[in-house]
Amino acid sequence: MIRFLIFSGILAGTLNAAVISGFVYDDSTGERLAGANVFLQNTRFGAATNNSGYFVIADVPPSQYLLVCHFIGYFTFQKKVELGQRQQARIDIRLAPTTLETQAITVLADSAVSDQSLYQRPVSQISIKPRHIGKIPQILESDLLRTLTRLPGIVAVSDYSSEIYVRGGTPDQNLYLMDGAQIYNPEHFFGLFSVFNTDAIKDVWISKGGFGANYGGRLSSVLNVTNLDGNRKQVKNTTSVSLLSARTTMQLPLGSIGSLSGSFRRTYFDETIARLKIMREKNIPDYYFWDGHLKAFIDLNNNNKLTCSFFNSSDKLNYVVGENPEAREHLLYNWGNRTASAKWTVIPNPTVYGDLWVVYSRFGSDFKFMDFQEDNGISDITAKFALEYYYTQKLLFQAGGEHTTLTARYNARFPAGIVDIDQNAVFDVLYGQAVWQPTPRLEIQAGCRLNRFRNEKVFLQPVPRFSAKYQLFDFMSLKAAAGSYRQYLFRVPRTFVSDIWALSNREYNNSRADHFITGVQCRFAGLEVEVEGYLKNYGNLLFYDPFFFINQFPAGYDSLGHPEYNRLRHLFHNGSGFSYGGEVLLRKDSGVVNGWVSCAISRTRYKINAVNSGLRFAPRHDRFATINIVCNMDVRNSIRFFLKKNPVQYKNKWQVGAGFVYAAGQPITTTSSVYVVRPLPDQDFYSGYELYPGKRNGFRLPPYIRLDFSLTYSRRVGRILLQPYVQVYNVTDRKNVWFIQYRDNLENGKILQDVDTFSMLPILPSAGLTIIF
Amino acid sequence: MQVDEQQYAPKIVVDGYLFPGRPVQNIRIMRNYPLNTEIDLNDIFLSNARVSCMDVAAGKNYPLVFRASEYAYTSADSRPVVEYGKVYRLDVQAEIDGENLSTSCTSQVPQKGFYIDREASILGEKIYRQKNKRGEVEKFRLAFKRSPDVDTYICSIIAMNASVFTFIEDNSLGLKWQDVQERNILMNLKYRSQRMITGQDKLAYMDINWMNIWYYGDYRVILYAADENFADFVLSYRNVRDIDGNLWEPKFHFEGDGIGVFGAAIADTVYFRVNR
Repeated sequence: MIRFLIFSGILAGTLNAAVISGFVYDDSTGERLAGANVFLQNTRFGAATNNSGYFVIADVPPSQYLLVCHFIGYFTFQKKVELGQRQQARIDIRLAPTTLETQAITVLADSAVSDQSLYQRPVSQISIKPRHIGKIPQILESDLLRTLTRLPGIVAVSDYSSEIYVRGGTPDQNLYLMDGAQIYNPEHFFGLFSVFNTDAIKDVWISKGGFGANYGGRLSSVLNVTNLDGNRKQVKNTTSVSLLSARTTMQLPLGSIGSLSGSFRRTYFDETIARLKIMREKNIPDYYFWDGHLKAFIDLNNNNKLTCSFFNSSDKLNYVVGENPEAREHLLYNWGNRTASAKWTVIPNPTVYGDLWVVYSRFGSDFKFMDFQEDNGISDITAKFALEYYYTQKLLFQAGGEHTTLTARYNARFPAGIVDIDQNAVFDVLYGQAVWQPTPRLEIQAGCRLNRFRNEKVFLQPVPRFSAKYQLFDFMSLKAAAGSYRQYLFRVPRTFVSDIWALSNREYNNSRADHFITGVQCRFAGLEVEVEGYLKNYGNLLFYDPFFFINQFPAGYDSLGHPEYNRLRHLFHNGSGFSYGGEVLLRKDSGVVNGWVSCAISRTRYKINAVNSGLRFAPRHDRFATINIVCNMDVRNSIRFFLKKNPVQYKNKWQVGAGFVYAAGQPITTTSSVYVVRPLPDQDFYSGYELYPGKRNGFRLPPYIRLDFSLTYSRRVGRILLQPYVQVYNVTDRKNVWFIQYRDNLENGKILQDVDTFSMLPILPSAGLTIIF
Repeated sequence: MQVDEQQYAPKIVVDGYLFPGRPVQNIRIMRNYPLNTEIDLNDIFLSNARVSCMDVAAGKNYPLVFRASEYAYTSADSRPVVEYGKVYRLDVQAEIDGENLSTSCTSQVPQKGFYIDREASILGEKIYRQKNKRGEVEKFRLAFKRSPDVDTYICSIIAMNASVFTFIEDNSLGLKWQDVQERNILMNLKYRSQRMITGQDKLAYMDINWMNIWYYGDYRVILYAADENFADFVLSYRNVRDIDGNLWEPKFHFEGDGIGVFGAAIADTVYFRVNR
């Protein structure tokens, strides 16, 4: 009876309750803002906008309220509202940005970040604004993935690769999404740069683990990139030119119904380097990459919106080998991504929000050199939906599904045979989760994801997800998450050339990971502090076997007797592993000096059959400790700050950026000994010694330490903002070791051994000009 | 940077092959060395190891003796004579750095049936990268009948007249003789190899890759039908290093403290000439 009364009371309240919903927009551009806080002053009613900028405050008793909206970098919005019984109030909010000039001063923006926004952030999720990325000194170009390696728990293995390793996971365990489409190979220039053009990015966040049921298919992380929808108020352009590349981003309104944005970037390293005096005699490969996106946002009406996005990236290499025109060979290598997505946002009633997607994504590469030809790629077509139902102020239901047809192909022709593999899979997902706030300070999220992956056999797996947040004080919250994750796609890693994708089938079972995360977030003295600890267990971890080709069985033979393979067996060894660690992030988002300091300790170990005699070992990306410091400073206002004067808006500004990285030495396998042996029974000579490896990754390289620096001058000329910049990567020119080299010299019947190191990138200065109008 | 040497462990290095119709001979037993050791090639052979070869089917063990002239172990009385299809086991015991080490390895000699079909092969003489009337580059070609139980065929290509005078200057990679000397790769260009996997019972064909031709003159080509030990050794012993410098274990088939190869093969030899 008591239960009945309580339920009736809740139901009666709910039936009479009003609902406020709407979108939050940037008033200057018309872009929707994700993560803004909307609440009714002096009540417990409030909400944050979702990824599309939509909010719902449900279950509000009829009365008069003051509606308030806060968001980083914008003036606070306030509006009196009067709600009647069962009223469904649609209030679209337009936030006026604090002036662009002020943003430029603060760089990381906003001096009024609310404690609520910190609380609302999911565990292990970090958002980065594009302007953060642009201010961090980088190798020649600002780069998203390299910026992420400045965050705790995310590391790179070398300067030559922008691949990221998140909390002990490998790059293929990261889900890269751009406007809802998967990016299978987010690398340009053999891994030196990523495909994400930072000028075209509107919003980006990365979840380092513990993510909810609405994401899956990967063991480690989710990187979600949303490109600019386009400016709905005016034409806007950003153009950057440097010695090595040029890029431009254009935004324009489409009348009153929507907006369009597009970007294009192209490199010309080869042309620039070939003109350097010291390189004139060298054979410089003909190489460039380009990428571009086009995105349209259309307001069909208040409750229906359509977003169409297209992206293409392409790398092209043509290297001429040999000098004799009759005998010279061309090494041709092209690779790139192509994605297209259409998203229909529909709001059938104020408490139900839905996104319906159709997405296409493809990665492909072609390689040709002499008698070797290779065609490698993966593509998918996905239809998916995501629904949010704001049942009450305390209870939100989320549900969704995905249907993906996936094709991975690998075709290679070489003198010794043919490999022709086509893999086709269907991946279906259904998920549901509830977000429940039993008290204003406690939020519990529980859900389940049902995966069904079909390729030769069916993998049907329900995987649970759970997270909880408790706001201990206004300025401090405790967070925890746990979840089980499955992965059915694996990369065969290849250095410098694009990886090959393999799919789970009757030979390769899926991989598994379980995440357990706990953390504290708080704010004091203008600093955001996040401390997190995590544990990840891996099951059926697939580990590439470099000698897989030894045990292949041809499906048949061509007319010359060359083998034809239509599946590759024994590509991987399997085993288990774990990662655990702790991370601290101190972040100062506002002020004339801002940036962050992050520290992380971690330990990752694998135990793989047939590797290292089956004994546990550290993978190459294991780093015991990392420290990152990122600092930006408005020079003139910093001086004013030290003189205890308020910052002012200067027409001409100098900004200094600095970055420091310390990472404990990577493990590497060294030689345990050397020996000599004939190459073949009849080839009775010794050209040198052979290396016999020691324990897998049993040796630690020296720590990686690097200091970067940038200087940007900003000057406004009429409507045009000019920003010439210089940046220096690895200021101290430290010789960070990438790997150990062994050289041998045969002299007078004696082999002299020479051990040397191969260094990462030296000091790299660069300069460029950004024009914004 | 100092590389930690504590990982060193002494190993018996075996370099030996069995060929049907011949006695067990030329089995080289050597040792490995720690890194940063100056190795004297005359001092790498272990002359006082206890080495024996067992005919596994017959259960008979044959001790091998060290012959200083060959730096190798050979059956004392030319027995056993290696037979097609039979399994042999090599056992070695030796003392290295004061440690008593032992290793063993089993090898199965391929079945009879492998040979190069001279009639169906394209040998003789060709100009370097000679083209036909259609402008296509012609190639030397080996036609061969496989051994019934062997899939891996390894081809040894030796430039018999390799010298500064016969070096092909307009080679595909634009490599100059000066580069060859500076990089000390004369022997690497003189001794080349390529491999092919085939399981079909009719004639199979292996084209000689022009990348393996660096000198004008005569070439000796030996095609081996290689057993698993031989094939895995050739494919893996030098392929222990990723492009990022990291190392992994080669695929050897020894039990105990051995590394290297104890394999078996059937060999057939042909010749061709490359003209200017």
